[in-house]
Amino acid sequence: MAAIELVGVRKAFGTVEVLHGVDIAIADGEFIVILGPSGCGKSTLLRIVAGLEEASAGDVVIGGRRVNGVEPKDRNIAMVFQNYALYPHMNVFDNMAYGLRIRGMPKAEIERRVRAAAEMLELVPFLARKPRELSGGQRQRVAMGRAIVREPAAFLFDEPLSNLDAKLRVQTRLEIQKLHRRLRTTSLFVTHDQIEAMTLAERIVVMNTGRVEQIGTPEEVYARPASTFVAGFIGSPPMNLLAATVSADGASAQLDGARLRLPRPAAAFAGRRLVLGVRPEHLRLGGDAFEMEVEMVEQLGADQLVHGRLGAHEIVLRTGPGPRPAPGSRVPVGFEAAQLHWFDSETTRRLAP
Amino acid sequence: MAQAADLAAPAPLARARAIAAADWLPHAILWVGIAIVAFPIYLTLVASTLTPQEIAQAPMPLLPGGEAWHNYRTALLEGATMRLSPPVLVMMANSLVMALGITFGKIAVSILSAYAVVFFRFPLRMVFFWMIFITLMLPVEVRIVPTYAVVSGLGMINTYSGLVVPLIASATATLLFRQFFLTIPDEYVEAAKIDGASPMRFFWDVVLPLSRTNIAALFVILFIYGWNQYLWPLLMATDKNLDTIVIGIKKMIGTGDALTEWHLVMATTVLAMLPPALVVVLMQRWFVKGLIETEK
Repeated sequence: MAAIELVGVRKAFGTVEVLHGVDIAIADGEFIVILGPSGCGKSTLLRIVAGLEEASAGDVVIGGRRVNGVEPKDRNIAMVFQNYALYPHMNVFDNMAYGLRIRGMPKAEIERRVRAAAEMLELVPFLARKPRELSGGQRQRVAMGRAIVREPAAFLFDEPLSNLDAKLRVQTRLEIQKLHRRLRTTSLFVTHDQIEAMTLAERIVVMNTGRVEQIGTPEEVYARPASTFVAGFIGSPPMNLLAATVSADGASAQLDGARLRLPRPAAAFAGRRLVLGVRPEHLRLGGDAFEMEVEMVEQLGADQLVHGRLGAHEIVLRTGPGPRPAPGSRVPVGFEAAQLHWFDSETTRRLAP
Repeated sequence: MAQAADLAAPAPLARARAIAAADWLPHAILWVGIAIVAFPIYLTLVASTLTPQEIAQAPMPLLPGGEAWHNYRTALLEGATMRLSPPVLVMMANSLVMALGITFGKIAVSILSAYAVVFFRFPLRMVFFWMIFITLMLPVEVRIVPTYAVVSGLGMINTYSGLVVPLIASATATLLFRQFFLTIPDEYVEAAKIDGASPMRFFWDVVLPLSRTNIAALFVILFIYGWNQYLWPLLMATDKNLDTIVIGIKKMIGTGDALTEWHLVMATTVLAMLPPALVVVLMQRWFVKGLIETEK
């Protein structure tokens, strides 16, 4: 087990830079999820930690040792691939044992480790099977077993759940969590699925276009998104983001084609152009902030989502079961001052609170 | 409506008849084709069981005679002594050495070069690939004079290595392996890197086992290619103890007034056909698998 540190990591493919200087410090035993849309550079970052790609600039430090230029096999890491990359002609036992055999580990020790991992992952009945004779979930567990037997300093997961169906994904997510609680091995988990990120991570690294937008616990990332990107990426449905100009007295905000009364006057922002954010679950029917024109209502059982318009803006509101607002009607909407997020309209960074 | 029903009534019958004809015609064509291919082979088989006198009759008998044992024994152990050819057993051994040498040599060289071209990044990689590719345009027949000069310069005339080595390079097999290797997911390579496998270890432990069916398919094709070599052995093996069976058959046939022991020629021909046929029959399952399936 070891801490991992990334310092100013940049990566360019030819003239195209895909990582623009990434700094992350991961504590020993921590479970970190790197979250971002496809193409944000998160997989490249993981591959740089693994040593499968070389960073163009910056340092990767694993367990206090700078590993730039060190071969993947000498970095003491194990990786779980998206498509598992199990050798198709080897059975489950051999797949897990392969890396240990190459390292010249004694047979008895290999046997012991593979058995232990197989028991932990409930793979004992399948040890003699070939990967193609296994279900997707079992293959996924073999891929994890192959990582576990190595007893590495860190696990690297590259979207390991995206090839599973929804039900299995939930189950495997829990298994990974249990496993981590048991082994306490530093883990770096890449995904584009915010639910995976929120449920698994001790800290989330939100990435966008080759930059880190925010590093924080799931609670922080949800409650205090550092930028409009994070605000729009985390949460489902995403936060309502409204470009606005605050009035001179700070009591209201002029939107595109509508006006919004602020629950608490914001004198500090008087006259400024910025972006207001408020989550659908923090809007409530009733109140005096604005009137929304209802367009559509989605019934989710426990909740309902009210889609509507405020001037030129689309607004989503989440509310509990109850009378369903009629499409076409206008309903009053309100929210608490504390639930309002302010972002700079130029830099998109969070301003307050 | 009634009219339409009347018209429709005979239709199923006509359709059945049309289907029958459609079934029958391709079969007939196939049968004719098989007859055309099989008849000469049948004639060869029959002739190899006749006495020379019976073969010389016109028309030749179309039913097997009783000399099979004698003819095959003579051919295998003594050869066509009137034309001073070595026993067929010797020639078959020569052919086998050459065919297997070419087959294994080609597979070994081409799988390694394909491995290099696909899995490694080295300077001039594509130049080398295209150089291999271009040799497709240079079969033995085209480069035979320079090849002969090189082989004789190396003192390999009338040796087994002289028979085998110049035919070992194979662009076709290299390309076939290359195409297969391109379908091996990058993740296997990366997983092996993290597992700590060296490139050759990865080759032995992963690439080679995955290539099994391709190797089997190539084995069949290349064995037959090697077995049927004619021009190169003709030119380079002047020692008759190095004659391959394909050369031997030709030499057994007299020209002009010389006598030909046709019963022995026919027996030798049948013997020459056996090993390739055997290889195809035994490896058929693998052969088809190798051509149609990529195991993943």
